[in-house]
Amino acid sequence: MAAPVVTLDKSAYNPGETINITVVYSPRSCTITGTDQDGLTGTASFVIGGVTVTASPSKTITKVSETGTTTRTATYTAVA
Amino acid sequence: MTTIVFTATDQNGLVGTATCEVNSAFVSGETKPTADNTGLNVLGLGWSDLTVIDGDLNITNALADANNNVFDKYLVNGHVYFTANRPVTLKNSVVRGHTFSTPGSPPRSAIVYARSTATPSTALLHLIACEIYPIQPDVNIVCVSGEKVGVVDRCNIHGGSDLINYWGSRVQVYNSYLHAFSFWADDPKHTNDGQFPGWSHNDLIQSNGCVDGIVFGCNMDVRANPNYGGYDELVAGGFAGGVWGSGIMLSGSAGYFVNFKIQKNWFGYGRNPVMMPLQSGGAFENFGCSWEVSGNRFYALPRAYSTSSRHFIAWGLQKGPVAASVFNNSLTTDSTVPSTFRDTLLPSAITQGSGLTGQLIVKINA
Repeated sequence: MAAPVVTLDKSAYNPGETINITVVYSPRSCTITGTDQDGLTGTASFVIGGVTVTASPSKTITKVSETGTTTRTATYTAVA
Repeated sequence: MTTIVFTATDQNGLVGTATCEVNSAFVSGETKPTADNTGLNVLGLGWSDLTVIDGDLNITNALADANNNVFDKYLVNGHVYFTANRPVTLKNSVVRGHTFSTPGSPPRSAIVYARSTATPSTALLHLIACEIYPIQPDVNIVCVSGEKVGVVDRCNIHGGSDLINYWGSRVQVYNSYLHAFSFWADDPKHTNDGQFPGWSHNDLIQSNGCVDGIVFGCNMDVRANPNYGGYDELVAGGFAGGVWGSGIMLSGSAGYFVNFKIQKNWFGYGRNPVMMPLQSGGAFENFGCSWEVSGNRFYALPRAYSTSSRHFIAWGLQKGPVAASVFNNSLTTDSTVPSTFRDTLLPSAITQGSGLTGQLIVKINA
């Protein structure tokens, strides 16, 4: 069983830019968490057949879309 | 810089990760402008995001109308020539001129050419988040010039013999990285220089007079580009590292300087980083008033005038800004500052000379 593969569209962003995240995974559900060096987080959860999004107030995963059975994309707003 | 780690955890507890960096938010006057946070990097753009113009961009009224007075994301392999009669903004763009066959005879004297005395005073070309430099530096090319230069903000400008020349319009330069001018040892405009005949007089920002001018939050590295012009002659003449020229040169040959602010900038090197009106000629010289030069940070010493006299800020003794208007300027903690001077305030100005040739100078001996 393989671990989820996480890729980003760039390696560096400016504040306010959108970070596009793609996750490829094989089981039925998966959760993405973005954590900065101060411990602030944003989270998005994926379940096959539906999408669940949870967000923290300071750093937010703003949108989740499905692009395939086991591939999900999310966007995260970069905050410095 | 903020580092963000993304983790994806599946239902079996397996974890995948990816890491990225988020640049720090740019705070005007607090964030030092560099190549990394000016020009295209303000929005994280690359040249592939730009529309290429092979030739000059002639901003006429008709073209301005067609673009709603905003030109965004262009790579101009030519000059920008501004003749419109209304405010226009060029942003998120690169302008670099083009090559030409006869050194000393460029197709235009500026990469961004906004010279006109015929259009209204409101007809200004604003430059936001642009990189401007000559692909072929020349003794007769500056980067930005004209009576119609407006706001310059978050720009990366380099390579011209001067970088920004305001001719009469209000100086408004913010948050920009100005550096690596081209020095020339055979400048026909300066053959009468008594000490260094033919050496170019390089200024990063120059004005000949204006009201309400401001230079705020800029980083001015006042050193010549080693790859062009007469750099070797400059070094051989005693100016190691290409340390020469001025960051701001205000020479009031065409009008008064009234209410001019030079605040919270960074300066490094140069021969005299901040030079304000003197008395050596010109009908309007020596009449500056309502000025403030404060909160500026110097991160490398200017080249000494004599054996050890380093001049940071100088201006005319008579009728120039009062000494109390020049305050809270400091040396940084950078290793390029001698350890005994790091994190210290620059002293108050001293008087040198008298009468029309006298100066007030903020200086140290180092």
